[in-house]
Amino acid sequence: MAELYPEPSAWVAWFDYQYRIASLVKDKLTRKSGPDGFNKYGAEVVDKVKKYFLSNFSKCPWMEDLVQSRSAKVRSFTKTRKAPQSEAFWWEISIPSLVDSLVEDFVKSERKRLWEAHKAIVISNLNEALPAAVRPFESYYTEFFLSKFFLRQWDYWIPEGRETEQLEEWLKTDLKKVVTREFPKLINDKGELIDEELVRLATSGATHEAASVQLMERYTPKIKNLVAGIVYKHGLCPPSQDAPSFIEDTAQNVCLKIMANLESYGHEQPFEHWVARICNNESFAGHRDIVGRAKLPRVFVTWEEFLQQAPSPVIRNTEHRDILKKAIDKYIEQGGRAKKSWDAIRLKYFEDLDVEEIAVRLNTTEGYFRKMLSHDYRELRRIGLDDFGFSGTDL
Amino acid sequence: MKHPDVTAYAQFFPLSAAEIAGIEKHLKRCGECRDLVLFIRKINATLRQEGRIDRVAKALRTDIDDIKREMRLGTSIDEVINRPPDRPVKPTAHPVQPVSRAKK
Repeated sequence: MAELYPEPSAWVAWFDYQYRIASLVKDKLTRKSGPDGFNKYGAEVVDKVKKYFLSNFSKCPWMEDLVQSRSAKVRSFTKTRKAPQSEAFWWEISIPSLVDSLVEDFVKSERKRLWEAHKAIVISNLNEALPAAVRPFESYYTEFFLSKFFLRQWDYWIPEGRETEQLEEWLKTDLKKVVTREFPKLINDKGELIDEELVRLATSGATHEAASVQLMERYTPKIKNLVAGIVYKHGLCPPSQDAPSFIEDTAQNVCLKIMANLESYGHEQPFEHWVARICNNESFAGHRDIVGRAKLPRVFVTWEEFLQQAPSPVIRNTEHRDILKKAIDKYIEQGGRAKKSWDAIRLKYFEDLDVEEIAVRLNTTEGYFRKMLSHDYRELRRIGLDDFGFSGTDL
Repeated sequence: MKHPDVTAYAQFFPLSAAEIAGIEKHLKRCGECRDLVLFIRKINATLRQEGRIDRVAKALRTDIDDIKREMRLGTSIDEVINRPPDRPVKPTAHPVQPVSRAKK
């Protein structure tokens, strides 16, 4: 291993290494941009390397820092801080890295410059070719096609190694390919945007509210038909409900669910299938919400029968009274609020007290008393239904 | 379907005509809510009747079960109250559990 000493000056060092550096640039640039690219830009890149070399060279040739970071200025080493590596180390590690990184940067910036110069042509041609249904979302689709089909292929095409005419020709050919192959995928037979594209637009940002509106306008009648089909096929309309109202309510729930969960649609299946699954789930859920999970269908008093009921229908059947008593006991076992509310009911109806007096006795307000009853009668009936299998009609 | 609060209607609490009309319009279509109204009215009516019997039994110093038995046979509370003292109610053959919890 030879003893190492700093070069006397940057220029002397450059003259010593320039041919080897030029050969490195040629090698790297030809690999990156092809022989044409090297012929076009070789001298320019060598000049850049030279400038960089001279401006960052100080007395030491080892340039350790260049290996780690090109942006870091080469530090000046004194004799006491001489690097222990051999000249071969410096030559093999530092300079090639420097050349690599400068060539990479050059190619990157040149490609960017060329893209900026040709982007406008691509955009205008794309916009012209966009189908009518896509035009309201022109900016989204321009950006989408630019990034998906042009910007991504730009690097593979090695634009800096081509002539301007070649580039323009390639862009035209590629544009034609995109227009003939990709545009028909966006629209359906009627010339409208397909459902999946509307979903994509609707979930791409708040600016595409029109897409959500269009999607729901298209799907509202479909959803109603789907729900009606499911409800009638499986007999899901509860006896207590009017079938058209039940279908209407379920369809509305489906619409709300779709809008709330649109982002969870993964595009793995057609959108229509996804919607159909939600319709199915919601129809069964709607049925369960009303009927519960009981296997036997519940029977409800009709409106006409309801009108004929006495205003104060006392339960005469002793068995029913016993069941009701058990349900009340179970309800009171919940403790706290349940007990207080049962006391309120008892004071009101058993003791026949006024609401004001009950409120005073229970140390509460009349408003709270009414609110309490509103919740607790429902709860009491729920216990009756779930645990004892009787409803208001059955009692 | 959105279900309105029918508890006030079921208990005959004062409501505006519009509120009553709205609830009844819903009740025509919703068996669930009709059922709830019936449930509430049945509980309340039964409790009210038991309360009266309890008070009458205390006032007349009679057994509650005796009065209940009389009522099952068709005697009204008014008749029980106005019964001459020489005709006490007969003892019941089958005791009946009250709906409300017995006071400790």
